[in-house]
Amino acid sequence: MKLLLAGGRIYDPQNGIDGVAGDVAIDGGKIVAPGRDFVPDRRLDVTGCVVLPGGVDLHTHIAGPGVNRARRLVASDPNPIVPEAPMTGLRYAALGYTTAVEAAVTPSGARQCHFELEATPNIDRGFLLLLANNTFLLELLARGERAAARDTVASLLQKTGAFGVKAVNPGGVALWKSQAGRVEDLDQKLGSTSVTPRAILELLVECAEENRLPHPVHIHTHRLGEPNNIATTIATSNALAGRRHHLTHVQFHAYGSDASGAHRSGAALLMDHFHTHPELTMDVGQVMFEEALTLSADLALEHLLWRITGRRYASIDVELESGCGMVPFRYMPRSRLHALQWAVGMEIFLLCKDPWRLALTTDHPNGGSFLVYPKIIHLLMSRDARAEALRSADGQAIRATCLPDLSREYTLQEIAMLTRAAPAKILGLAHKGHLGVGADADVTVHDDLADRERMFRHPRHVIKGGALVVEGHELRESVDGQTFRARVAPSAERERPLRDWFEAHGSYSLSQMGPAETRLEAMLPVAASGPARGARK
Amino acid sequence: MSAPPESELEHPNAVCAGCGCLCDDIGLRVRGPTVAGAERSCPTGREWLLARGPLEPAARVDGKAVPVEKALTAAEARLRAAGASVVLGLHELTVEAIAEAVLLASTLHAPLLPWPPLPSGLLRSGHHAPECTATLGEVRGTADLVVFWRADPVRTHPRHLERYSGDPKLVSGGSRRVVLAAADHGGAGGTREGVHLPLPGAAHGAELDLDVIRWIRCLLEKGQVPAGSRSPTLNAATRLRDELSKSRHAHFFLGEGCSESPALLEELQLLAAKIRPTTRITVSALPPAGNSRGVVEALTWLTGSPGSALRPNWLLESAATDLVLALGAPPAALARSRLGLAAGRPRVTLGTELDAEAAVSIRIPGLDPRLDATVLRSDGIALTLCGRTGPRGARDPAVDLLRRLTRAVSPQRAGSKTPASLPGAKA
Repeated sequence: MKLLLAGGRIYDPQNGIDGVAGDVAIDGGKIVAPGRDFVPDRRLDVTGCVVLPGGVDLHTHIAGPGVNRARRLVASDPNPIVPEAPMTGLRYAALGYTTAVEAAVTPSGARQCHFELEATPNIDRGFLLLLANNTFLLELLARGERAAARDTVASLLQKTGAFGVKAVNPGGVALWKSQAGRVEDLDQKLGSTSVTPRAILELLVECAEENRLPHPVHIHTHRLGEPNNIATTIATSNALAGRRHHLTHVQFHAYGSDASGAHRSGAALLMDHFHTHPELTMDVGQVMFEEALTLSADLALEHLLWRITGRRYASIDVELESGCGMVPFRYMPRSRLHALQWAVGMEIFLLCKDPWRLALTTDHPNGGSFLVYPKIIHLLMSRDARAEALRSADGQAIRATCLPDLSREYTLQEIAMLTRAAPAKILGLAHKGHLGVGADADVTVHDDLADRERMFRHPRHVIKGGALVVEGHELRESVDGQTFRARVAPSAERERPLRDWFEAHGSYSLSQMGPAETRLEAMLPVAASGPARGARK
Repeated sequence: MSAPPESELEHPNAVCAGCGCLCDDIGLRVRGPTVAGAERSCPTGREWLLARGPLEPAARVDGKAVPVEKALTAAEARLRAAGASVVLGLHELTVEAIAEAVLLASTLHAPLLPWPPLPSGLLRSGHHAPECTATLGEVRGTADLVVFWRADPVRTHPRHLERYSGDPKLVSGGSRRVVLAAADHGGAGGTREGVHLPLPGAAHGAELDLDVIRWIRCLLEKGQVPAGSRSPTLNAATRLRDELSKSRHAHFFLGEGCSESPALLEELQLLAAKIRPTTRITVSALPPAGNSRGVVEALTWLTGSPGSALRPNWLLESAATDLVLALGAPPAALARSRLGLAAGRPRVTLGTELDAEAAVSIRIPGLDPRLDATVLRSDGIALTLCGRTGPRGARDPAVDLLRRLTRAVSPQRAGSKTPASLPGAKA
């Protein structure tokens, strides 16, 4: 269908369009030039409305064995925070989000993840592969076989159809599983080996560069949630200085401490570092005072949360690869720590001078459901809304931040960056996050309301791949999305170390890993633009 | 006279669903429409694999053999006429077929009941007590203590010890793995491989087993048990405590009978979670045959929950139910449900055996190792039944049969696109 959105106010940061009235033309799932030659089958008059590219969620948990386990944990809740896959796709569409990346899947869980992603309509999607606690990779590192380790990463990416590499608490999960303590420091030796978290991160970054992954290594640093973890976070980024890397849900990793050892905000320190390191990208992981569910490969953290809350809990150790733990949770405004977490997230947004390198996330469902995005947008765009929220939050926590002094109000163009253009760019998806000719026809149209939460919660129209899935604020249609994967093509020879190891230690045949060839072929391969970095040694 | 032609080794790495271990190294020989040989399979697996019939469906209507097309037409008519259907079964369907079954049930607005019902322990896990578990590869690579609790893997899962739990392949390089068979009798299969740990008699098993686990927790946490503890259970607890103290990773496999006692599973899981920072214990059940895990996972990602709040027997016996649609229900389970099914409800079945009592019955290959379709191991690892190293397997005919039934009963009628609300149901 040829569709013309006529007369809307367009916000398209990628193409330098900031609230200019104009038309958006769509043909065959792509944005085309709205010239005289374009004769639409359908014309929607959106005069006075705000027109944006479809939303891009670069870090969410919506598919894979861990997420599915979490679904069962909350299945009896009246409105489960982790809904079934079809409902997930409907909810994203209803919010104007058309692309999402599942942020943590083990190699052995990849195949189920693809099933679930295919059952999630209305979004294009991919997933990140958990590799920083993989026993075989750690063995190769211990033996100094870096080339074999890089080959193994390439093989695993290719077999699983993953989009990128994820590092959760590098080495720390393996250490917890073997009851050999916890990681406190990047240069700490893991158990009796010479492997350090620093070496793991360097290896994974090398792999991302050599394989020209579109998205840099996606890092959940050590000591999540602990006082003074900002030092670890900055040290981790410094270890990778000059090389592209992405720090995820940084709100959880941006705490200082006061004289008594209690949490303080470390947001200002983090943002000072961010502004001087252009190779660094981040997403926030904002928490909201709502129901949440902590879900992470950081097994020690999840165990701690269970001990604190005593609520439902599941923990799974997975195939010498990683693990997954989960605990339902609720953030309370009167809790000092929770209020501080909320405020630190807000500070990160409001102190950011370069929204091109920052993405809005809640680490769904860890900080809250993605359904709270409109509320976050409203808070960022309204000083008054923040003042109102501050009144209900724990005062001591707020005094440990600079949030009350931050008067900034985000503009629509900046919101378009945080939620569309920046995450697409950080992911390396050139066809997403903008409305230029050739981009995917993922578009949202919003009524221009003073109540920004309402405005973003109920888009007037949502177009996904050229299909009008939301029309007049109502879901009309559900369409299949596309899965994208990293374009890597390791040779059979490069797979050999992994094959040999799997032969000895795998509990199933390596040939069974990942989706079928036909499914892999149906995915969209994506590579970084420009030449690969790093010579093979 | 020349010898009959040798069968071809058609699938060198096929998956056997005969017991739930899902061995994925079976060399499958096929002769014509049947499985002629199964290299590396155990006796249980061989019996199951060699019983696989033709992949092509066959059908009966009112007990008489008919072409499949005629049976489908009859099934469509029955489904259209039904006021209130119940869909049950699923365990012997592939993941791809389960997705179609969900779509069909959704289109019919029919309750969907895994049959036999999923173990309550599995559905409650993580709710009333924490869950600490590990996949089989993790057990194989790191568990230096494996405890079979009221289980006899040699008898029920003959290759379990070889593939996952007996042969030490520890990644740490260690070669010592203690295998304990905790049971109330000597000479059980497990003891042939490991050490027999006497448990109190099975007649009182559930309560005494709980005592053993509670006392292990007391011993590990406080170093002693309450005064007056009975000696057989205390002996077992002390022995286990000693082994756990030496272990870096202990995994408990619970036998089939234990699934009837959620309290035992929960007590073990609670023990595992509480002492996790000092002692690593993980727990899982020995897997049942079929694709139970695939049922659990697929129902969860497609509907949000693997279980129904409705009680199956109540539904089956309800006067309102006027059609039972049994899809991939194990024949033995269907027989057990006869009480409910015999109350005059017509039945349409798609299963691995033709159902003489059904109004319409279509035979499907179920979890046949020649299919290019997916089954989930008990720990959630997804496997292709025919393997990935040989020639491509056959498409699961159940997918197309179910899709056709869905189209027939869809309000949009045949030929239209299936409802888009469940896009995961595509093949």
